[in-house]
This record gives sequence, C-alpha cells and structure tokens, in this order.
Amino acid sequence: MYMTKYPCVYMRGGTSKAIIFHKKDLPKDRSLWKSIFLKVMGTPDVKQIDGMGGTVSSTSKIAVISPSEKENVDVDYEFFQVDIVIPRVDTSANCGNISSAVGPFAIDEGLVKAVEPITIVRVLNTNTNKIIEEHVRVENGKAMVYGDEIIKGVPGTGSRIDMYFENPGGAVTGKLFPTGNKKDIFDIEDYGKIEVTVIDCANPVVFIKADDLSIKGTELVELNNNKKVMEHIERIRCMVAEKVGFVKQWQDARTQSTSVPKVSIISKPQNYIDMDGNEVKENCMDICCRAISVGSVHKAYPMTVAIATGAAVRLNGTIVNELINQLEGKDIIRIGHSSGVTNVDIKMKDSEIIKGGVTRTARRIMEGYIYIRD
Amino acid sequence: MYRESFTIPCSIIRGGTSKGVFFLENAVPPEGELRDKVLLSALGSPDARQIDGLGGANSLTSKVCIIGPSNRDDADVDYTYGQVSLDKSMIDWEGNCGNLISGVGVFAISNNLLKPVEPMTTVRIYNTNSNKIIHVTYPVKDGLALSEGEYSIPGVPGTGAKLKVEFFDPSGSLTKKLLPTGNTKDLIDLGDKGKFTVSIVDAGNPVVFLNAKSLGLIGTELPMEIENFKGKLELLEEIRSVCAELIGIVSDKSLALSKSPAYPKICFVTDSKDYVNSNGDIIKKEDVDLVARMASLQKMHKTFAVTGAICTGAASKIKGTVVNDIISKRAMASDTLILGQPYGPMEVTIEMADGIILKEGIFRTARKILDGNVYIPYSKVK
Repeated sequence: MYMTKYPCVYMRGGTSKAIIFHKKDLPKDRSLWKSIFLKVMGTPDVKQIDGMGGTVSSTSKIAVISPSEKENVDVDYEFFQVDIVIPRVDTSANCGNISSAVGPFAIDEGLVKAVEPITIVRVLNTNTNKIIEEHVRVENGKAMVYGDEIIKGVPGTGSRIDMYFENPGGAVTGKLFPTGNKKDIFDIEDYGKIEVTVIDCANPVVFIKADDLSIKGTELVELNNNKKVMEHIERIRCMVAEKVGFVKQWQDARTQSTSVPKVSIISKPQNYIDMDGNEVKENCMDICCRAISVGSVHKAYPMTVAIATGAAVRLNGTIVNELINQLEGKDIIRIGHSSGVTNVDIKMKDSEIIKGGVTRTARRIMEGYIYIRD
Repeated sequence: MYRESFTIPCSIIRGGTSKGVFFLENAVPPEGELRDKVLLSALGSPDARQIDGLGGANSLTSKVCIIGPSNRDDADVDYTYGQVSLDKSMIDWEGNCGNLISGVGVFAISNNLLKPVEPMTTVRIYNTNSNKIIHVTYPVKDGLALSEGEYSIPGVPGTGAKLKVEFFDPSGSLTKKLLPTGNTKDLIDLGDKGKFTVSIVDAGNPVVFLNAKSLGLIGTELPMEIENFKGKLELLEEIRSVCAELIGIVSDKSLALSKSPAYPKICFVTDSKDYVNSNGDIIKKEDVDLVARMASLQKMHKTFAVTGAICTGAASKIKGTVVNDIISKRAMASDTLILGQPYGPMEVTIEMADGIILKEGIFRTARKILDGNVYIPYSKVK
C-alpha cells in the first residue's frame, strides 16, 4: 500500500551521475536488487519519467558501497549500469567516472577516517576485482568541492580526485599483451599490411598510426563520414578481436564484440582545433590520439583508453613508444584528443605497469530517501 | 566553521508526465536574483546535460515548484512554478505547469501544510503564475497522500492513484482574455515562408493553434520525426514569436526566444486519424476527437502539456477556431474532449455556462521519487 524508501546519496562522478547506496541499507537478498534498481531509475521507459534516471547511459547508474573485509582495502564498490528502454541491469564492467565519487562518498559517510589535507581511500571494484586508490582533498572532515580542476563535459571547476587503477594490465584478457607480441602485422584484404600494437590495460586497445591510414590524426567527428578509413579501422579491429579470442571469425566482431577491443589512432603532437572550437597546441601534449568507440570517433577520450595509451607510450617496443620516444622515465603522459588534453599518470616498476592514474572531480548533489513502488 | 556548500530540503516528485524539484517557500530565498541562482545551481543549469545537478537535461524534467501556505480564503497552498532553462542562466516564471500541479498536494500533505482527511482530501491550490485556483483530490490514508492505484495515463509506465485536477475559470491565464487578439483566427504573414492561419487561445496557458496541413504535415507524426524534418521547429518558433508579440507577451518578436521561450506554447492539430504512438501501439481514430502535437521550449513536447490540453479543450468549444473546425461529431455534442497526443488519448472535461468556461478537469497520477537535501555550493550564489 505504501512505497518503500531507502536512504541514498545522489552524486556526480566525472561526467556521470549515480544513485549511491550503502549495502547495509539494501535487502540482504541480492535477487531483489535488480527490480529495485530498475524502479530507482524509472526503467524501462525512454523518458525515465517515474525515476531518477536522466534518459542517457551516463545518468542511469547505481553504485553500492560497503566497508571492506579485505586487507588493505577500505571499501568495496559494485557498479550497476541500468538500461533505459530494456529492463536490464549490467554488472560486467566498472564505470571509471562513477569510481571517482566513491572516495568522497566513503569520507563523507564516515566509512573511512577523514585525514587532512588528503585522504587516501582504497576501493575494491568488485565488478573487475581491481583496486582503485583515490586521493581526495579534505577540509573540515569532508571531501572538498572547490578546486581548480577542469573536467571536459562538466561546467566550472572542482576539487581534484587522483585515481590510481592498480595493476591495470590484463583487465579483460588476463594478459598485458593479449596477442603475445608487442607489435603485430595484419594483412587486411583490399587494404594491405598494417602494423599495430594491442595492449590490455584497463581495457583492450588497438593502436594504429594515423600515417598508416593516410589521415592526419587530428580529424574530429567528420572522420565518421570517411567510410573507406572507418571500414579499414573496423576491419583491423575485427582481425584483432579474432586473434585475441573475443570471436571465432573476425566477421563476428562487427556484431558480437562491438565495444572491445577499443581503437586509438596515434600521431606525433600537432596543433589542432578541438570540438569546442578551442586551439590545442602541439607543445601541450605528448601524443595526439583519436579514440574510436563502437564505430565512431569518441567526442573525448575514455578513461580506460587513456590508461592503456599511457602504458603503451611507456612500454618499449610498442608502435606507440617508437612513435613517441623522448619520454624516457616520465610518469605523466599528456594525451591530446577530440575535446582537449587529458593527463594520465603511469607508474612502472621494471617493465610492469603497477598503477595507471587519472584525475576527475565529483560532487554530492543530494542526499535523502528514494521511494520505490511495491 | 567554513563550509563550501549549504543544503536545502526538497523533494523530487513526478506529477503526470513531468518531474520537478519541490521546495517549501520558507526554505528558499524570496523572489529575486538570489532565489534564481540557488535554483539554477540545484538543477545544474546552465548546462545542456545538467550533469552537476538534479535536472534531467530535458524540458519535462527541468522544473521547480515553490509551495507555501496560502493567505487566500479560497486556497490551502500557494504554488509558484518555474521552468528552468537548460543552457541559459534563466528561469521562466511566466506560466504554469499543469502536470506538476498534481504533485503539489503530495508535497503539501507530507509537509503538513494542510490537515488531510480520510479517505479523500481536496487540496485547494492557488497558482501564483497564472493567478488561478486549481483543485486536486487525493486518496489519503494515515495522513499521507497515496500514490498506488489502478489508473494509467499516456506517457507514464504503470499505474497510480487517479487524481482529479480541476482548473477553475481557466480563461485568460496570462493575457486576461480567452481570445487575446479578440479573434478566433488570425493570419500570420511570414513573407516567403507563407501565410499561416492560427487561433490564439489563453486558457490554462496561452497556446497558438494551427492545422497540421498548413505546416505541410499530416499531424500524426511523432515528436522525433517532426524534429528530423528540416526547418519545421524553426518555422514553429517563427510563428510563435510573431504571436507572442501580437498578444503583448513581448514588445517585439525578436525578443520571444530570449524573454519568453515557454509561452505562448504552439500546437498543431488534425481531425481524428489512426496513428502509431511513441510506444509503437496503434491508437484508433474512433478513440480520439482530434490528433494534436505540441512544441515547448523550441523542441517537440514528448507528450502533451496539461495546460495545453486545458487550452485545447477551451478552443474546441469556441466556434471558428482551427481546433473547433476539426473535432469529431462526438466532441461537438459532449462536455469532454479526447485529444490524441504522442502517447495516446488524453481526456479533458469542460464545464460551461452561458458561453463562459467555469471549470476544466483532467486526471493525473503523481508520485514522490526522492526527498532529502540538495547541496548548493556557495560559489554558485555569490
């Protein structure tokens, strides 16, 4: 007769928004979660009018947090991507953006002791079983909101949260070099031979030189209209998908493995105008990249691809490292992409990638109770 | 102690096919620039994605309501509605949102602004924007408005308690006149783009009506299709701008987009036809008295504004309007009008005496989604 209500916090993390629950506030029986989460977002409904969803994937997200029982971990974090028109909740991947809200949430909710000026929160993402270490600025016992960090896609500035994805190698395939090689040559029918590097670091990514595709590498979304080049890129991606075992026949990757591997087109630093019309100077970047995601040019640069790119720059023998070879020993790699420059911080030990770092901002938008129809 | 943000209690409530953020009048600053800054920040505007606030990046979900006790004898609560722009630092306080009215009682009862009685409580609402009285009747149990029920409205999945919403004396909400130009039809001359016959009616909200044919449309197209036709949205906005000047909402048509983007609304109609709704289901010709589509804030409305439906109901009763010209025989002889909106039939009742509209009614469902405290950074209100 009455609706059930659950305590929750509504947060922005990077360029996403999510409803965040304490695990203790949800039913112990996990089989009930899916139905609750669908109602929380108002799914299935293209307008999500009866729930908190914002009708796009970046605002139809849920996180569940609890104190961790694992040694050297503060909180466990599980991520749920709630579909919009289909009653489906996906737990196969983590969301890098929402990960950045977990540290401030843990501090503000008292799950970790607030330490000024920086509190380190160690988060276990249970979707990927990977550790993320978050460095959160703290003042007066709370996560700071103010700061001068700019995130593309979020108006204004905020307090920076430095996130380090630990041991990001082999996140999906179990191997840093899933083909077994630092470089591979693929013979693509109608197009000829091409040299690529495939790295699985936070996500599997295929790196291709812009020169080898006969493009400049500074193209924006207009590249989507260049059918010949886009088909070339897709054929390379499909061949890699077959080689690393995502699909049996390369043709199947077009439909069965659209989101992995991802593709990055690389070139030396160049001047260009970004999507917002701003000038990006060659001396602001270490490498110029364009990400291709699900068949089109990405409007920015996915965090996971940024980590793989930073790793590829630093690993001797990759085509990325050979293109950009003056960065010996440098941790911070500056990636010029469609909407500006993103920095990644790659920590290595011998030839192992031990951490991949990116910076985000997050903000607590609202706290209270969400009402669920029975 | 220095703090970066302050909090304001609020509730997110679905009313009909809209979602809004509801505030108590005494929890926000008084009318003025500061109040607008606080509310813009709460919703995350200006930002087309509203990524840093509560807004849903769509005109249906970028709305604020301010509720307080009323000093009037004929009202329990005062309700002030604001349409928050997505990409501009602007809140339009000119019109009323008929959908969210159905959420006003949910909020008022849970905040003890009136004493509810079982089993049904009628909440008497004074809408300050339109200077009109609206009654909404709620099923009540244990001091709370119930949201569960069997009633379904087009555009909202599932069912809820059936809430009767009654608009008293809806005529002249913004312009003081039912026919703001004094005419049932006016001719808008856009030069090379052609001449367009419109009926401008003000009931619930001012609305410009056209026949779909005059725009080169069938009238049963869905919002997405219309937006994909090159130039249609621009044409609608141009006609709307001229009408805004004509009825005195703005002093010049060039100001309509910036000064009054939400009002008048613009709507095109056609006689009843079979059509496929936004869920892919067939709506039968016999089940509607006309087919109508509405544009709001320079985009096609995904459903239909309640105040727009109230206005369509009024227009259907005025001989000589483009709406009256095309309604079904059934509607001609009835005190109800069933309009076919993108999600399906929506029924309006019209109570008249001596040619004057006394009251119009519609049914809605409403539900509280979230309540708590919203965080506003001090930097946003400096």
